[in-house]
Amino acid sequence: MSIEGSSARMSRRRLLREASVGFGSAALAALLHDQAMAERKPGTSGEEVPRPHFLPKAKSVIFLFMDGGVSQVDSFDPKPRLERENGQKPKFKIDATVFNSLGNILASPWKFKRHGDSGVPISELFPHLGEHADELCVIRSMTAFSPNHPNAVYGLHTGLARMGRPSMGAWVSYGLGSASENLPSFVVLHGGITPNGGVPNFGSGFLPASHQGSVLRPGAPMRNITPRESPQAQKRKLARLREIDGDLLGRIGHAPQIESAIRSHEMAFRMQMEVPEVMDISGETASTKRMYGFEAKWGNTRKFAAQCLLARRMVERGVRFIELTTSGGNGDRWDQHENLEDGHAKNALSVDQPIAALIQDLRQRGLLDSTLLVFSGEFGRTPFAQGSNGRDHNPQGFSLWMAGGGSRAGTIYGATDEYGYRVVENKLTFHDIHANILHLLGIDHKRLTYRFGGRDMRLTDVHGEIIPEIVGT
Amino acid sequence: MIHLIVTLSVVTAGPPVQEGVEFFEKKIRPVLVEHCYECHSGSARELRGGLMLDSRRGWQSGGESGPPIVPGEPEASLILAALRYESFEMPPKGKLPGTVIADFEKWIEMGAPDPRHRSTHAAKTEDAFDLEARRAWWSLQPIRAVALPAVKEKGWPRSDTDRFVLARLEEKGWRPAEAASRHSWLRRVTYDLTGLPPTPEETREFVGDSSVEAYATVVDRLLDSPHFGEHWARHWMDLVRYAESKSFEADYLMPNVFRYRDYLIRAFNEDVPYSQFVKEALAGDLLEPPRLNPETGENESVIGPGFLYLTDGQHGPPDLHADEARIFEDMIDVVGKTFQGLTLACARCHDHKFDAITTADYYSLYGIIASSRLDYADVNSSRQQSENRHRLKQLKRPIRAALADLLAEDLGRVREDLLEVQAARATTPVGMRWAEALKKKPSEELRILSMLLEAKDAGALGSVWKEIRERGGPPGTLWLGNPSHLRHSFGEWLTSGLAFEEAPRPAGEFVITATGDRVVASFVGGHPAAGHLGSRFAGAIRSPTFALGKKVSVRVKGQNARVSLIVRHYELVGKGATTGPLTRVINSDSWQTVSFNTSLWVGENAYLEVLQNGGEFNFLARTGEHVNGAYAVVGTASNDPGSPPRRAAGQAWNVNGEPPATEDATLDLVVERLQALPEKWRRGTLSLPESDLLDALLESGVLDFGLMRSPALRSAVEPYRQLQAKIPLPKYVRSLADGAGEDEPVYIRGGHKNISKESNPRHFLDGIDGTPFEGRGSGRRQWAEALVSASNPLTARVMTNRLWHHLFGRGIVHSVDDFGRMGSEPSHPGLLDFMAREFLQDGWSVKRLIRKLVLSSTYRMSSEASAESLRLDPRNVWLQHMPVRRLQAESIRDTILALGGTLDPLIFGPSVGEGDDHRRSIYIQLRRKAMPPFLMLFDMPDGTEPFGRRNVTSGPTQSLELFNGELTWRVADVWARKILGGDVEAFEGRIRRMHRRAFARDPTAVEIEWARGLLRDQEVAGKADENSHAVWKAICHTMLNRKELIYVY
Repeated sequence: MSIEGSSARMSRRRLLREASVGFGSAALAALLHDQAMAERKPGTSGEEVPRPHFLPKAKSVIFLFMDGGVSQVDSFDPKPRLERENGQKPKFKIDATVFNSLGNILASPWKFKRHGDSGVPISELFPHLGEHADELCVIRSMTAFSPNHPNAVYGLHTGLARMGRPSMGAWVSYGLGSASENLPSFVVLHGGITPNGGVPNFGSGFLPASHQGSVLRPGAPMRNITPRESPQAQKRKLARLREIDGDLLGRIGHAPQIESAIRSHEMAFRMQMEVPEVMDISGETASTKRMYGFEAKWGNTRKFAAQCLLARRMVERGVRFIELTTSGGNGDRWDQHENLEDGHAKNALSVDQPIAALIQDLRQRGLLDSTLLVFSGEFGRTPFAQGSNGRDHNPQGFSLWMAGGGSRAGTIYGATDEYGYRVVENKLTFHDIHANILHLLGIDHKRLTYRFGGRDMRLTDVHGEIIPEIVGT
Repeated sequence: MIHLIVTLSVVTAGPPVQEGVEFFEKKIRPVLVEHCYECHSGSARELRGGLMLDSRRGWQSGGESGPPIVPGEPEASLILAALRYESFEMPPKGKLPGTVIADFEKWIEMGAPDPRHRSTHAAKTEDAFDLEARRAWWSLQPIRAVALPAVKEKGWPRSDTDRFVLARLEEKGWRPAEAASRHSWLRRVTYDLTGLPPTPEETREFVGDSSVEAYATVVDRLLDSPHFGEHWARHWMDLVRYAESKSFEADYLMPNVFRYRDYLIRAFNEDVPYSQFVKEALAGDLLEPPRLNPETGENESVIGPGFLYLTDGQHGPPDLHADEARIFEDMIDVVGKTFQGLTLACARCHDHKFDAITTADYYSLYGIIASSRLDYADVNSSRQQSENRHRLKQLKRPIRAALADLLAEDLGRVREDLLEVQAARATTPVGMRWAEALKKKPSEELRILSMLLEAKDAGALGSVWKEIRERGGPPGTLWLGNPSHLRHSFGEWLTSGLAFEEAPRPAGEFVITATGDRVVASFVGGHPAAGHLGSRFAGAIRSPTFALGKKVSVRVKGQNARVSLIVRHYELVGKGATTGPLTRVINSDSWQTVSFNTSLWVGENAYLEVLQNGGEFNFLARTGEHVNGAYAVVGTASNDPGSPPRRAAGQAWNVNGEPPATEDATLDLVVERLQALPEKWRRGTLSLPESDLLDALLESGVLDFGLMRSPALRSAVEPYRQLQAKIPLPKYVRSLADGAGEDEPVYIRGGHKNISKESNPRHFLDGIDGTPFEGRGSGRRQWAEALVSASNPLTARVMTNRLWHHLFGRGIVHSVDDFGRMGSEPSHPGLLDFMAREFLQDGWSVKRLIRKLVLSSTYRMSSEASAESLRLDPRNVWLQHMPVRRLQAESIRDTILALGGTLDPLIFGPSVGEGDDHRRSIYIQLRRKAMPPFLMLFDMPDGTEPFGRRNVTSGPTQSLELFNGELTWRVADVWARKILGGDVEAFEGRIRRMHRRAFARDPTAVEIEWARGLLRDQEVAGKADENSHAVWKAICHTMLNRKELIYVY
């Protein structure tokens, strides 16, 4: 029999007790509620207070979403053969593409160099990042679910190549709750371009709405975070509300969901104070800002520098999952169907220094070991040209890197063929990446489930493999 | 050759020769162990594809795709294709080096010698799928006739359902909660039935009504309210993942989706029996007679299937079959959960892991959907239109007669005219038109006529005759496929709507222009055509499904017509780099050949579609903007290669006889045949070749059917055009149309490139009744009938449970969309069956069941829990009391607007923006990529999956929305104005009014004191005036943030 009911009893009481001493926020709120509880496996719900399954290496994730798809053969996966066959017709079998416009082999306009002790090759697109090559775990055997932007972006974010499933940030929030009292556990630092497929990429899908990403746009406050009255007026009003809502509880008796909503109200008030505080970087030193690129000539470098710095500040305050999206004004996102040289150069210029500084800053502050950085586009680009000087989408093989958070520094995993077109060794999908991210956070991806529509849903569906070469043992 | 013989001997001679074994041990076994055993051996944690590679017998018997190795034939061996990454990509981790693949090739060539007799471990089989055992699950058992349980407290139950609840409580020695106050009950029932708060007048009326029927009076008033349908339609919209756009990159809007929403509202308001509602959902386009709107006479049934294609959709997917499989999965998921509470979509790749659902069930429903086509149907019903059609046909007769007179007049001296043309000195207007036409020769008919007239001797005439004869073909062939087995006739093309009538038009049929002097647009005899009764009857004609070659061509003509090639049911033709060119607008009175390059989709299933009035569709916006004078005609079509054959020209000249012997005799023949045309046309005895000839003469400009030429024509055309312009314009809804029924075989492990060779006849669920369907058509009608058949226990159980869930906050089966083993079991099984039976016996009436439930004692309980219930049943499964519930997102917004007084009671209509403070939330446009943030924060589903039970969450972002968000401040502003707008009133009076509006009750003393506190706060802030707007705005805003506003208890 699986009538839910009795099994949840203890857990709710425990939750209420823990709540009163300031237990994590969003996950708690959801857990408090009947609906969310009932979705959990009968009999186990009492134990599923968000806490890691095993000792985590990472506490937070910074996801650097390289919107549009970085070309692997121009960044982290050198292919000398392209130079030799530059301008020739591809000699290999080509899968269907979106535009069906196939050109000749296109050599990379950028030179590669081995960096650091590890000798990880990185192209001259990323000179600053090169200095931290020994921190990177470069995965050269990524595949995406689709050559179409939105499908691939959904796939990267949610594990399914269509809209509607919870974003990985939402899963992390659900799985771990927030380590911050007053900040959301999943924050999107919006650079200006909304990823293909739209805000549902940051959505909570079937998970409780409280896990959806809170989007912070450049220059704009978080939705509803700015009070429309003076702090005194607001405070008085809140006090009155506390009074009258308490009266309601007195009148109708037991109503845990109303109690929880009242607590949310108080938390909202604190969040309203803390969010502006975390966004206020006036206390950062000039040298820190300079290191991130606040004085860079290229405007988008300055923008991304601010996002990276904010990401660090959020990590310091316990935000679990921070996603950074890219800015407009680089010709296009990384989606260079034409003018590869110009577009990729601008996109790289925008993110290279800020990301390098972020790594350095985290390391200096002793946070790199507990903060996982993930750098990825939704797919890679073709080694052959689209038109004369662009590259089309390539889901059959591309590169992603991780740094910090317990990932294996200074390593390369997997390989594409001699052209960088198709994975030939250690093929990975986004499911695998999700599994490994969760693993580093101390979560067993097979046990992080939510019952919906008759299934125990997982971020990794029925897939995902832990790769010791990436996460260590 | 010798090699081959050796190989054969290896295979047949039993033990492999030593050399082969050595090769196997050295080169093959290590690779198998390292790369394949993980998934294909007895020691595999999970056996993949049913394939074992750890013994000879394993690969000999093969997996789901058959044996992977054909000894001696590397090229026929699936394993080699998989290793080469040509079919499956094996091993999935990465392609093996070329040398290893070469070893396998060699090994197979050697005859695949393999000494392994035994599997590494005893073979593991997946959980055996035993249909009979699975069928034993409670929800598949027949609905029982349940006796009413005995109860001790006999005075408590008001309805039979109460006895089930009470009996359970008494078993535990519990007592049900006291009755709720009248105020609480009224607020509860008003929200549950309409989603709105009661008005102060309604509260006063009910509280003051001391009659026995007071409660029933309220319930009947609410059930009759048009807002009832709005609230309950929204529940249904959650299930069918209602949204109006396609998400992905461009988030294309689907046109006219709001008409489906309005249909739901009407259906709930009219209490359409649920069985009828279900049939309409699956097969509303096929019901005869359809259900008509009692007020407008419009066809309601046809709107029912409008939910199926509310899927997402992307432009230009590289693999259209994969895209179809993805989208159909979504549809199957919706249909399974919504109507049966079954997770059918779980059987896409394998038989269901827990329930009595086979992959054959899944692909049966797939086949049913694939045998249907998305259709934009006109709700103007055939009954409404039949009178108009009849009158138009009548009015057309005198027009034809007047035209025939003109024709006779023009052909009166055709011999002279033609002779003069030959002598290059035409004198009459018609003669000059002949001269022009024979010079230009725009059509085959004219070319042949001109050849005839120019032939000077018997020899020349003979060769013209021969040419005509040799070009002869059966008139009326619509579809000529290549290869030759694709040969279809008219009968196999399917029409929907009224525009294209069942058969090709009779010879001499013509299309009348909507305005202007030129009366006839085109002759359409012998072809399927729309527009011959004016442009306002909507419709489409579609070819059978066929496998694509490299090019598809079709001959068409018309005005504001559209021809499209629908590959794999892909809805977004016209968008995307590759799929963009698959549609074309036709604006031509002459035949055109439209060709589609289909080399990217060779072998994929497709059909051709020709739409009347499809011209104006701005991509998906197949709103079918009507254009006066629109028509559409389909000629022949072909599939790879070449152009479609034309109908043989020149047949009107009696090619079967001997050719005329002389020039004069030819002229005689031509003149005689031409001059016979008017009378034949008038009498309706034209042949198809003659009809074509008339069309050619019209197109070439020889015929002049000018309105100004004939008063008789004018007086005949005028009433026709007048009536034509009065017919209601098409009103399109998204629906379905049937194609020919085609079965879909099972896709092995869900792979669309790995399709079973076994047929899979369309049927209903094996767990209930899997008898294959008989008869033509998609099978939707049979599926619908199976849903509402007496032997289906799920339909009534699932629906009554949904009603219970919405009224009592928790379904008897808590997992309302899953009645399978992963779902919950019923808390009150007897009650569920009792209700389901009542529902069936009471004609599937949703309203009457709701009425019973909300008038029950259970529903009337207060939400105050007993100590035992709190301690032992915190989820309130046993219903000792009514639950405290948060309002759903739409009700929260609607309530706030209602308090401000801006909410417009208007029902129906096109969608509006979230910022529209006048319309209820159900009318807000739902674009998947930009769902209304306010509603989303309060757990409205995002329109991608069925949600029979919403999440209910609370979090700080909700508080921030109500506290700092725009809506509450805007409404506080207008509410304050309203409060101050009435007569000058004492403070307390105003506070009382506010409470009555917001909570359907008077304020308590505590609340009045509390409100005075608010006022004092304002004074502290320096706003002393009790009548100032600023003060009241602050008070209103505080009221809007009270928790009581968004919870019912």
